[in-house]
Amino acid sequence: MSKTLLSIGNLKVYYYTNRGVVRAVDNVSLTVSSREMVGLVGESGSGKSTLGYAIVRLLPPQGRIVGGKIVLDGKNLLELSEAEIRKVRGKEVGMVFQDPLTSLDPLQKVGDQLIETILEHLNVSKKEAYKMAAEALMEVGLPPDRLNSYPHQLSGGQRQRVMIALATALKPKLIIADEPTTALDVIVQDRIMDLLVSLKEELKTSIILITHDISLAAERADKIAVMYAGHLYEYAPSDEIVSKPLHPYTQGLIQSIPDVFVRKEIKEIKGNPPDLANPPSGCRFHPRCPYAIEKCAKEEPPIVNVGKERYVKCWLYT
Amino acid sequence: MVELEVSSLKKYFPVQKSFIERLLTRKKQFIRAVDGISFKIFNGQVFSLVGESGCGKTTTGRLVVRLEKPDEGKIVFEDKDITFAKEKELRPLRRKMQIIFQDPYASLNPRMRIGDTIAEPLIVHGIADKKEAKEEALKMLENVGLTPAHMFYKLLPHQLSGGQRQRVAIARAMILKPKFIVADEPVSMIDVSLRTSILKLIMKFKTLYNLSILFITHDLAVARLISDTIAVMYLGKIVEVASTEELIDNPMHPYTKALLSSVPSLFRRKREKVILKGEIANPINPPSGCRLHPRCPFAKSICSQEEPKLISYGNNHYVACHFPLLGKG
Repeated sequence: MSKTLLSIGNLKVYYYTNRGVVRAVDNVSLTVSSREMVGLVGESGSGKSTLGYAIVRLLPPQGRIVGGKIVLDGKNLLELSEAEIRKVRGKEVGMVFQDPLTSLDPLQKVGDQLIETILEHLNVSKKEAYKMAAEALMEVGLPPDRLNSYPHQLSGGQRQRVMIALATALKPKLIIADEPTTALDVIVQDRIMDLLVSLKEELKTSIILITHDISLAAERADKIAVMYAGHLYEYAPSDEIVSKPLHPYTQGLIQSIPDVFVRKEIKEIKGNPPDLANPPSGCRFHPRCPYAIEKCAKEEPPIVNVGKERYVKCWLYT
Repeated sequence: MVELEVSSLKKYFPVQKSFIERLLTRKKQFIRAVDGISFKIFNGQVFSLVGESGCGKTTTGRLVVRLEKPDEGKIVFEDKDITFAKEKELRPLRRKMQIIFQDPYASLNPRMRIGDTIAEPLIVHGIADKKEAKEEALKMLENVGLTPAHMFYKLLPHQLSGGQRQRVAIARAMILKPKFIVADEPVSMIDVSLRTSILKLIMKFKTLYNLSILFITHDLAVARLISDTIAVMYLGKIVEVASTEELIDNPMHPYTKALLSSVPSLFRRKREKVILKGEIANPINPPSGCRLHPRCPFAKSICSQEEPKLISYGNNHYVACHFPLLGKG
C-alpha cells in the first residue's frame, strides 16, 4: 500500500455572491496517495476546479473555505499563515492551468519566469537557478534555448510544456493540473498527457487531473473522483468506474458520451445541472436521477465504502 | 441525389501586415485556408469534416453557404452553381441552407427576445406575417424542448444556459425548413451531459426534413456518432474520406491514424500509436509535396516533391498518400 499524501476531510468552500451563498464544494472528502494520479471529473459548475484551487487556498475574493481540513504530508494547509502557504505553492504543490497564454507573463522571457520561481523558493545562486531552469525545460521536451523565448513565440503545446516546467521545476509532491489540455488539439493533448504521466513516474509525484473529459481521465488516471453540483458522488479506480459505475450520475455520464471506437446507443441525462445558490434538497442529483425515491429529496446520502477503494454517495448502496 | 457538390474549392486569406512591414516587403502573403478540396453530400446524409484547429474546416463551412466568397473552384447546390452567385441570387437559396454556429453566446442577438429571434427569418423571407410567425416560433420552441413555450418566448439570451441557447440557434435555423445545414462545432461549447440531447435534436430535424448536413467537428467520437461519411482535413486539404465505419476501422492515411490513436476513449482495445513529429505547419508557407511529410514517420523522398492525389482504394474509401497504410488496421 502506498501512503496517503493528501487527505481532504469534509471540505466546504462557499462563494458569497450578491445572488446569495453558492455552495460550490460541500462536505467533500478525498484522499490522494503518493505517486498516484487522480482524475477529478465533473461538468462546469460541479466544483471540481474550486476544490483544486482550495487545496492551495487560491480562491477568488468571494470564495471562502468555511469548514473541513486539507492535510498534505501531515500538515493542515488551512492552519498555515499566508506566508507559509505561499511557500507550499510551487515548492510542494505545483499548478498547471488551462490556458497557458493567460497564465504566463507575456512580457517576461520563459527563462526569467522559471528562474524567478526557483529563486523564490530555493536558496541557490542565479547561475544554479539558470542551470535548473534549462534542465526543467529539457525535462518537458523543449530545447534549453527556449529560455530566451517570450510566450507569444511559442505554440499552444509548447506553452503548456512551459507551464508544466514551471510546475515541476521545484519537484513538488503534488501537481494540480486544471484542464491542462482542454485548449489543445487532440494530438498535442496526447503528447502533453504522455509527458504528465512520465513526469509523475520520474519525479515520484502525485497528480490531481481536473477535467470534464471522463474518457481522458479513464485512460490516464489511476482513480477517478466524480463531482456533481458541489458534492463528490463516486470515487474509485478508473477501470472500475468505466466497467462498473455505481452512482446513477456516473452511469448516466458514461452512457451519454459517444466513443470513437465503439458504436453504442447513447442516452442523455435528463434535465439541467442545478443552480448552486439554490441547490435541490437531499441528494443534489435527485431531480435528474432515474432511480430517485422519496428519501433522496429529503436526506443527503452519506458517502459509503462499498469495496476496496470504492466509495459512493447514494441511497441505493446504504 | 447529390445535395451539394464542391470541386477544387480554394480560399486564400491575405495576411494582415503592419505598416512598416508593408513598406519593406512588396510580396503579398496568403493563408491557404482551403486549398483545393472536393466532396459531395448526398440527400439526407451527414458528412463530417474533421481536423485540428487551423485545418480549414470552418472556412469550408462558411464557403459552402456563401458567407465567404471562394477564390477558385465550384460549389453546386441543388444543381445550381452558386460559386460566385451575387447576394441577390443567393437570397432565395438562403431559405434552404442554414448554419448553426459553435458559440451560442455570440450567435444570438442579446437584446432580442428569443421568440422573436426564432420568428425573424419567417418575416425576413416574407413567408409569414408577424402573428403567424409568432405562432410558428411558439411551435418551434416546443419542438426544441424549450417549454413552456410562452414563457421561453419572452426570455432574453442571457437568461438561458449554453445548452438552451444552442436550442434557440437550432430553432432559428430550422424554422425555414431548410434542405441543407452547416453545423459548425455545435456541441463543443456545451456541457458533456447536455451534448447528447443537442445532437439528438439535430438528428430529429434531420429525419423530419430529410436534411443534408455538413457537420464540422474536431471530435472524432461525435463525428462517429452522427455521420454517414467522414472527411479528414489537414492544412487546407482533404487527406482521407470514407464511410464512418470504414474510416475508423481501417484508416489509411498516417494523419488519420495519428488522430485516431490520440483520441481518448473509454473502450480502446489496443493502443497502436502513430506519432507525428513536431507540430502543425504554417498555412502561409505549407510544406511542399504532401503537407504532412515533415511530420510523417513513413515519409520518403517522393513525399516532399510530389503532392499525393486523393485516389480510391475501393469501398468508397479515398486517400491522398503516397504510402497509405494498407491492411494494417
